[in-house]
Amino acid sequence: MIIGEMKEMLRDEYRETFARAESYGRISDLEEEYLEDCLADLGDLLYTAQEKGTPVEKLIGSNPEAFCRSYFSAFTVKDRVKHVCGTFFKDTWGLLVINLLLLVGDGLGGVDLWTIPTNWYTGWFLAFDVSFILFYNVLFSSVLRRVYFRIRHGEMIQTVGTICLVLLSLFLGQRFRDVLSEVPALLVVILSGGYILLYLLVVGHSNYRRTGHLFDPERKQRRSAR
Amino acid sequence: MADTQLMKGILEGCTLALIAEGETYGYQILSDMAAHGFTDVLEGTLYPILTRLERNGLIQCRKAKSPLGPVRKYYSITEHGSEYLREFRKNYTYVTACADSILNGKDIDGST
Repeated sequence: MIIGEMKEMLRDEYRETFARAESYGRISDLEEEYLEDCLADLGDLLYTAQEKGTPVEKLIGSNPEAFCRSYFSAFTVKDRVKHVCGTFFKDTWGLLVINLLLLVGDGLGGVDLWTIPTNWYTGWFLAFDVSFILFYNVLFSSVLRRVYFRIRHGEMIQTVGTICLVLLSLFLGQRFRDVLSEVPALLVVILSGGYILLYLLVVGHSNYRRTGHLFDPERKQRRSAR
Repeated sequence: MADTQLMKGILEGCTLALIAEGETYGYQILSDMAAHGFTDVLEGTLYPILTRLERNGLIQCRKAKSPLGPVRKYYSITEHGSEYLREFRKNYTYVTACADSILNGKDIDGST
């Protein structure tokens, strides 16, 4: 059941509690699957309480802020690091493909592979990606969720803040683009390919230890259920 | 609410013991806790405990549609969880006996 459907089934303070928890979860920049799982559980709990007439306070207490902090506390620093690594993993494919094409294109002309520089996209992308992930994940999100319940219009602040950080990251991308564009394309291929391989090995190993399969079978089910 | 640090160590074991009684779900666990006197245990405390227990392989869960409609997680104990629970019960009995001896002047075997 998707989050929107769950919200529709809830009423009054049950829906409000669910909505606040969802906002807090999104501001916290949690991994999407983990957030969906948390919210699905919370939704079921609130719906059951609603149907049985159990007051919301009996489930979450009188302090929604303390409840949200505690509820999402199972997403540890280790999980956040995994989440950031996973984001880099997805982004690195683009770098790998573009630079491979550069090497193939220029390399066929007999040019020494180490002399082929990467292009402006790689330089711009690296600067943008790293700065945005660091600014948003490490700084903005961690500050905002600490004050979310004490400020008004938290969601609007998140939207405006995100736009500002995107613009700042774009500026930094432009600023460092030319410097990073001198990096050899072959080096970018080696590093991005190496990172992709390492990530797949670590995740595969972790999945195998947990489930006996290299790929997480639950992830496949979740994707097909969407 | 009893001392937080004291509760932290006990709640995981108690949650596991409730799950060991039979397949159950979040709302039911909270109700059972309240029925046994833990009226201040909230979902915000329980959910991270369940996540930790699952990550450590002590419980497993399956998702199924609940009688009320939404998809629900049903928890059951694993073999590893049963062993862990046995060990927890042994340690808990020993620790409470020692503490009782100090705090209430009882001997470790329970006599005054």
